[in-house]
Parts: sequence; C-alpha cells; structure tokens
Amino acid sequence: MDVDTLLAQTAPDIVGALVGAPAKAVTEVPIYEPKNEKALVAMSGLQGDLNGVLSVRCSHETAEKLFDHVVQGNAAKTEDAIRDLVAEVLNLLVGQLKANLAYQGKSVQHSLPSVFSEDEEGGTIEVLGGSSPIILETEVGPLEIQFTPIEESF
Amino acid sequence: MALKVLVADDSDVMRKIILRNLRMAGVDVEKCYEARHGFEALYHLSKDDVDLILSDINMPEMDGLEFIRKVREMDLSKRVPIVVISSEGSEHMMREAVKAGADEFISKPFTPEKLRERLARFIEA
Repeated sequence: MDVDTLLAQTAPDIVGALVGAPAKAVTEVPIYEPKNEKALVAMSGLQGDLNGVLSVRCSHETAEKLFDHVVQGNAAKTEDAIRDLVAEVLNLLVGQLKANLAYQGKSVQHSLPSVFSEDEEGGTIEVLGGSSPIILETEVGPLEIQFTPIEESF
Repeated sequence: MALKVLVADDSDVMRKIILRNLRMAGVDVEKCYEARHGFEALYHLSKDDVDLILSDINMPEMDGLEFIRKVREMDLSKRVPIVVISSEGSEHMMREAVKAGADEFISKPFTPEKLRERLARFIEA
C-alpha cells in the first residue's frame, strides 16, 4: 500500500481523535484566509525504506482554534505553544505512518519536526512538490497533509 | 491516593495535555514534574521520589528508551512504574520499550478513558 493511501486511511482518525470530532477528507481546496495571513507548516524528514518529507499545513487561525480545543486553557497560548501543537499533529501522523510501514516490513527513521510560518508578504513555502495534499476538514478548520518523496536519502 | 508524577516529553503542550488527561482520568496528582528530555527527567528523579513516570520516546538530548534504561539502573527507593506515551505505536517500538524496562505502552492520541484503563494497575496499587 502506498504512502498516500496509508495517510488517506489513517489521517482522518488520528486528527479526529485529537480534535475530538470526526475529520473528513475532502477533495476541494478549502477557502483559506487571504494570502497575507500566515499559515503554519510543520515538516518532518523520513529516511530509510521510504525517503521524503511529511508535512502538515494549516492557517494560523485553524492552529489557534486547535490549540484552544486541545489544550483548554492548560497552557499559555503563545506562538511557540501553537507551533508546538502543529508539530505534535505531525508527530502523530509520522508515528502512525511508521507503524503501518513496519507492518509492511519497512523501516523508516524520522527527524523531529520543524515548524515554519509562510511568508508574511503573501508567498508560500515553495519547497514541496509531490502528489496533491490530503485535505481534512475538521471542527477547527482545514488541515493539509502531504508526503513529498525524495529520490535519494539525505 | 495522591501521586507524584514525572512527565517527560519534548512538547510543552503535550506535557500539559497528558497532565490534563491524567486528572480527567481521575488520577489525583499531588505533584507533577515535567521534563523536556531524558536528562531533565533524570535530574528530577535525583531530587525526589515519584510514584509514576510517563515518558515519550522521541526526545532530544536523551531519548525515552535511554532514559528508561537509566532509570532501571538507578538505585531508587522503590521500583517506579514507567509508562511510555508515544506516537510511535509499532510492535517493534513497544518491544524495545518493554526491553528497556517500561511497564506499559500507550499510543498517542489517547483519551482519558484509555489512560485510566491502562494505568489502573499502577494507580490502584
């Protein structure tokens, strides 16, 4: 089973469990805020029997709502804390992907996630290509999940 | 029974979520020590006894497996239950955690109910 299929099958459940309400994969690109609204992107490198970058992207508003929903006042809502939570969403997806790949006899190592903010002047992080992202609609807003394969290990 | 708990996870937010879920699961937490990695966690253990350790695997500086091995080598006043809470739920990782000395493994994400169920034998002991 390929990575995109694995992600499509498992990501809604993982994100839904975190949000506490079902997450649904959708095919239409969600309406994001205007381009000058910073979106957050968390990335983790994968290396081994699978090489590439797994990323999670969401608007800053969605990240803040996710934070409110998950943390419920138990931590200060700082920019670092919000990014920390987006990184944790990625961690969950990486963990499940690695477990599923292990069932296929594949071994993968991953890097700790890094979180970036999109260019304040309206650009996006034009780093990743790859297949179309998996878009999840959730109670707190849409999240994009994408795996970008890299030909050689790094 | 009020417990002293040590939570080791490099995510500030996840440590708070774990603590919140512990309380929602009905665990009476008298004191919670937080650590961002294994070294910090060992420091806390050198200063005070705890009743329960909850540890992630993937942490910088010293990861969870190494931390657990070190704990089991320490001459503590009692054998402290160690529960791994990790996003890596593969059988291999569970085996490694148990081999290192963990008593239980909980995959993230988790609910308070799941936490309660998996921690019952340690809380009620």
